[in-house]
This record gives sequence, structure tokens and C-alpha cells, in this order.
Amino acid sequence: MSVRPEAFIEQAEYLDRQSFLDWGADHPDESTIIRKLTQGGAKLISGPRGCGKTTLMLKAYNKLLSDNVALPVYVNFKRSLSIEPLYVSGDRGTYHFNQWILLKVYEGLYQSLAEIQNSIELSIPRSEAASRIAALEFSNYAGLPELDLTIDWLETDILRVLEKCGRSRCVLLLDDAAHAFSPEQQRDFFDFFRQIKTREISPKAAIYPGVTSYSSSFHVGHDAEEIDVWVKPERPGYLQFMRRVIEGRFPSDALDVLYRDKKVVDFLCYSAFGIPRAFLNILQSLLDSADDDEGGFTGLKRRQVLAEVKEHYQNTLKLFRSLNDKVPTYRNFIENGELVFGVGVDLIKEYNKNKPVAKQSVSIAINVADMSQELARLFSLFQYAGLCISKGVVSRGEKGRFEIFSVHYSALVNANALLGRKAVNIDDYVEAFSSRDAHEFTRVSPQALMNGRSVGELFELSLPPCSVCGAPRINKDAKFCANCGSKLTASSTYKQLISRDISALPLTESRVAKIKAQSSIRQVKDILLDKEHKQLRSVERVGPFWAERIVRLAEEFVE
Amino acid sequence: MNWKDSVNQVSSFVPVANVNAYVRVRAADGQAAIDRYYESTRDILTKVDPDFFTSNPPQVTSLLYIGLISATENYFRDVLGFILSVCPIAKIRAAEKKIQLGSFLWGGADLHSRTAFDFIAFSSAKNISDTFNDFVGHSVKPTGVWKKALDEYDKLCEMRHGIVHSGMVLSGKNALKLGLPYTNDVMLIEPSYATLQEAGGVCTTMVQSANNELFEALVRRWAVDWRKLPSWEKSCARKRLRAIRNGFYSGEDSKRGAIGNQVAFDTLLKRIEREFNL
Repeated sequence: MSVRPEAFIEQAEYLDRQSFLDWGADHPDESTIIRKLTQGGAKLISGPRGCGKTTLMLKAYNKLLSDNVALPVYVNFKRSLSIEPLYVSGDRGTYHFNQWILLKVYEGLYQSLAEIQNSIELSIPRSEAASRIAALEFSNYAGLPELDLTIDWLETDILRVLEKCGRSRCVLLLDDAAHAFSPEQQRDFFDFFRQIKTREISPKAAIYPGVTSYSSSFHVGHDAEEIDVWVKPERPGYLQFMRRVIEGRFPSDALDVLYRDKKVVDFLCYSAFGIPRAFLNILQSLLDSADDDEGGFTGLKRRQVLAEVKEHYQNTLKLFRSLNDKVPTYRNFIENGELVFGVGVDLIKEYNKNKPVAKQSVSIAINVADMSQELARLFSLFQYAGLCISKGVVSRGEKGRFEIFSVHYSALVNANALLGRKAVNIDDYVEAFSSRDAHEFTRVSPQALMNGRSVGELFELSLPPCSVCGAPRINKDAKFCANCGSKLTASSTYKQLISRDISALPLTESRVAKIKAQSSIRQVKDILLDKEHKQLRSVERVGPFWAERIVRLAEEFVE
Repeated sequence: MNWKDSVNQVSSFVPVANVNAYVRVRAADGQAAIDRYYESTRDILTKVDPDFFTSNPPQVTSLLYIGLISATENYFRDVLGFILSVCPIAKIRAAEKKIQLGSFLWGGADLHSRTAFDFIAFSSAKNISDTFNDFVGHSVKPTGVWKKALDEYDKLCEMRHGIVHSGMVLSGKNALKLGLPYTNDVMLIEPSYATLQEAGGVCTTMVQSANNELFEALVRRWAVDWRKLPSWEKSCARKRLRAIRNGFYSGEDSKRGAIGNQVAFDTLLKRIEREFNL
């Protein structure tokens, strides 16, 4: 059985066009979503990492290119956090970030023109746009001559392009735009998003659920419609969608071997919790470990599959913990949030004891009246990491209104939280996940989730002291140091992230140990600076594919 | 008993006995406008803690907002006066404008460039932009932080209006500009520690970004435009650049190590000469 390594490239933007077109699994709501992404009006598509936002945007892009009516411009803003140090250093962060956004759109516009085999010189030449983008990303712009790009210029250029290309409107597909956790950057991005929207220009942006800060003048619903694209595991057609992810990518002989045990494949689909990227990652790990066996891969081994799903849960937790560095103010939320999440899973386990398979709960429900701001924020952070899905609010009459959160299935598997038995096999899990009663959920109080501790005790904000005089902040709302009067600033998240030890990346301990033992790589920035992957390639069992993958993990870590 | 006195207490006339008691004279000290702003707002932003808002009524705490806006307005008055005193191009533009002679003559000669703007209010983004355009010939950069900060400052000015003119009641006109939802009831401006700190952030960001943008504009004029005027004397170039720098240079920020690219004057001069091929 042979599966090409490229089949495991789980980020759509890294696939070549043919593979992208051949391998795409249709989203269950694809026609509606693509319609919204290709027609006029501003839209936000929301979902956690790896749920398929980029895939949908690129599908919309390709459709628009061939339809010959609207001009699509695809821009990936994943490196936006590299501009964040300029906000912290006081070096006109807002200005430089705005310039960077405009430059990136110009670069995307040139790319689209090339795709439709057209060439128009815009206000800034393509090569200059590229060099300025690189200079800003490396904070190396001091020597560049002044150039004040404006939204008006961009709009005029876009209208000129539309006229020359005979297209009636432009769709800006802004990917990974609000993903940087810097609230200032998110605010500035949404200012741009609101301002660029005209009758002829329709911006569409990809956002994460729960953790996006909008500018004061931006209102979701009014300024843009939000579309949730996360395919929830309990929805009809879920398994078919997840299976299509591998059916498009894997050769038939490989699929034959995998489908020898269909229940196991279904179990993996459920354990990926609606994230195709997670599904591919789990499968890749299983296939990699099978490569070590004599005789190669002969099928999925159930014990290994269970172990891998538990490992996947640990990686999801790692992503949640990575918020410690990305939003250091919420350090206590992350540390204590993990405990709260564990209690939630335990309560589900308790609830499920002695209940038939069709009555198993995978969700917790919290009375809306008891939901403090802090707890709501914590659940937003859980959703970012994909640890839970908000299923909205249900009314239970006099008992009140409850917000329901489905808990990541791999967490339930890890804690053996279903069926109340010591040994639950994969068939049981699949039956429990597929024959669920939507009305079964575990009602929990915040007190129970917090083990009797108070919100103030668990979720105090971790406010950095004044960076000038070191005095502690007197209040979470303080913007000026009460001691020296300096404007209070946070330290650079980006700089902290690139200085983290590589063990913070979702790599196995043994791989981290090998990289450290056999190369000079220690910190995340060492990977990012490893030109042509020379250091990584010197490590045993790291070939071109794995080197690429590790670099992508490092890039994703600092996005 | 006169029926006319039947609705409230009637007091005898009270004069302002001595207006001098209300004022004090501050010696001209050449302080940069931005440092004057820092000095005026420091106590408002650092000495007032959250408890102050619980132990004092809104009638008192709302005055802190006024203090902030007033300090911001004063920055613009100071910096405009400074620009007029050093920039020949601004002088040419100002020569075309009418001034209110009374206030101009009252102040001493050193204050002329400042008192000339006594009649202009800087409590709206439009007034600020228009004044700098009219008197200095500088259009606020549409891409700059100053422009963005002005939009936020405008929101504070709408609230200032309610505090100053209508006992903290937000008028319909101001509420509309702020995009607040319609209500049948009276909408009051409610001061809090968090909003005061935020307002301080808005004003300070605006002052800092304006200072930065205006410094850049004046240096550009020094390097390019002033040199084309008949009044230009090459021998005074250094002195005039130093004057520009001193007018915008914040000793406060320097002390705090908060200036992003702090350089000695000679280095600054060299960099500017290099950039403009002088």
C-alpha cells in the first residue's frame, strides 16, 4: 500500500492546484457557503484551525476565476503577527500594519491578474509590493522611501482593473486575517475590512470562533454576516464528509486496506471532531508508525488507533496551552481552564454511567443566568482550540435557558467517559457517537465546574507590570502606570512565541529530543531561520516532507 | 410675603470679588507642547484610582473627562503656535487669515502665536483638521494614526458636549453621531475608571501621533520647501532644525525610554541630510 506524502498536506494553501482540485471534499453546505463567498456583500467565515476555511475560500476563488464575472483576490494574512512588535515598540504599529494589509492586497491583485493572463501596472509595482511586505515582516523598513498607500488608491486601482478586465465586481478573500491575537491588529484589520466594502468590492474574511475582537465601529450582522463552517460531528452526512477527505487523496489500494475495518475509520472521523486536518494528522501518525513494522501497513490496529486518538487529545490540549503565550493576560484562564475542562468531562462520565448507549451525553449545559463573563471567555478559548463546540442556547422552561457545549470526542475517549464501563471498544464508541440523542446533555453548575472555587480565584487576569518602572498595575482597566505615568504596554507576543522551546510544538517527545540532539535547533525561531531546512534535514528520519511539515508547524505556532 | 418668592430661596447678589484670585501666572518656560500635555494629564490618569469613582458623584468624576479634552485642546493650541513661530510657510498662510485683535493684543509678544488661536475650538476632529489645513497647510495623512485617533477623539468630544453644556445629559444630536440606540428616556454620561483610562489612551495616542506627523512635516519643509524661499539662510539651517526638534521633542518620553528611535541631534541631522540628499 502506498500513500504519497503529499496526501497528508492538510493545509489547502500548500497544495498545488491540481491536487487541490482533485482532493477537495465537498462541505455539506458547500453550495450555500460558496454562493455567499462569491456573491456581493461582506462575510466572515468562522471555524477553528483545520476545519476547512481556506479550502472553501480557495474553492470560491477558483470558481470566480473561471466564471468570468467577478474578479477574485485571495490574500493570506497568516504572517500578520510578525508586524505586532511594531505596535509594542511604539513604532507606529497601526500605520505599518495598514500599509502591510494594503501591500498584501496589491500582491494578491497582481496574482489574480496573472491567473487571468492580464497585466496592468497598478499604483505600486509588484516587485516593490513584495519587497516592502518582506521589509515590514522583518521590521526592516527604515531605509525604504516613504510610500503612503491608501484605501482610496487601492479602490481606484481595483475599479481600473475591473474595467480593463471586463469584470463587474471584485471579491476580496482575506484568509487568516484576524488570526493574530493582538487586539490592536484585529481592530485595525476590521477597520480596513469595513472601509474597503463598497458596491463593487466585497470583502470576505476567515476568523476564529470566540477570540476575535472587532473594532468599535464594526458590528457583526450589520457590517458582515458570519458563516459557521465547522462541520459538527452530530450533523447528518458528517461521516460521509470526513470519509471523502481521504477518499479523494488516497489511492484505492490504500483505501481498501483502511476500509477493511470501517468502524475504525468512522471512529477516527468522530475523534477528529469535525476537523479534517486532525483526521489526516491522526492517520499519518498511524501510517508512520506502521512503516516501522515489518511488512509495512496491513490495516489499522485498534489498540494503536485508541492510543493515537488519546495522543491527538494531548495535541489539542497543547494547542489550548499555546494560548498561554499568545494571550498571556489569560494565563490563569488557560491553566485553570484545563482543570475546568477536566471536571466537565468527569461530570459527563458520571452522567453516562448506567445509561443505554443511545442516551449517552457528549455535552455540558450551563444555565445562561449563571454564566459569568469569565466563564464565557473561557469557553471561547476552548472553542478556538477546538476543545468544544457551542451548540447554542436551549430553553428548559422554568429551569431556565441553557447554553450547550459539545465536548471534543477524543477527550471523552481519553477519559473513558462513555458507557460507564472500564473497557469500551471502538464499536461501542462509534455506536454511542452515531446514535446520540440530541436532548441528552449534562447540566452543570459553574460551582461544580470550578470545584467550588470562585471566579475571582481562578480567573484573575495576569496583567504585566509597567514595562518602564516595574510597578504592578493597580487595575485591569489601567492604561497608564500609577507610579510613573507611562502608557502601559504588553511585551511582544510574537517575540515571545519565536523564543519558545521547540517542545511547545505539536511534535512527539522523541522527535523533539532527536532534533535537539542532532541539530542546533532549540527554539521555534531556529526552525523559522533554518534556510533550506539544512539543520532539520540533518536529523535522522527527517526527509523533505517532514522538514516542510515541521516548518509549517512552527509557522502555525507563531501565526 | 411676595408670591414671587414662593418657589425657591432667593439670595442676595454675590460678585466675583477678585478675579486675580482665580488665576496665577506661569512663567514662559519653552516646554514642548507634548510635555505640557503630559504634565496636564498625568495626575488625572495616574492619581485617580477606581475608588475615586465610587466615593465621588458623577458630577465630580465627569470633570476629569473635561480635564483630558481641555489638555488635548491646549496641546493643539500650543503646537500650532509653535509651528507658526518657526515655519515661514505657515506664516504666509496665516497672513491670509483674519484674527481677533483683542485677544492678540492682550497677550505679550511671546504669546502672539498662541493667542491668535484663542477663538478656535479644538474639540472636534473637523476643527482640528481644518485648522491645521488652513493655518499650517498640512492635511492630516489619511493613512496615519493621527487620522484614526481623530475619529476616536470625536466620540469623546460628543460626550464632552453633554458634560459641559447639559449636566451630563447626552443630547440627541450627540447620541446620533455616536450611533447609540434610540431611547425614550434620558441618556446620561456615566464616568468610570475604565472609560477615563480609555479616554486617556485615545487623547494621548492622538497627541503623540499628531506630534510625530507634524514633526515629520516640518522637517520635510526644512529640507525642501524653506530652502526655496528668499528668506532662507543656509548658515541658519542647523539652528532652525534644532528649533523644530526642540519644539516637538518630549523630555518626558526620553526620560522613560519611550522614544522608539532616540538619537542625538547630530545623528538626526545626518540622517535627514542623507534622506533628502542635502
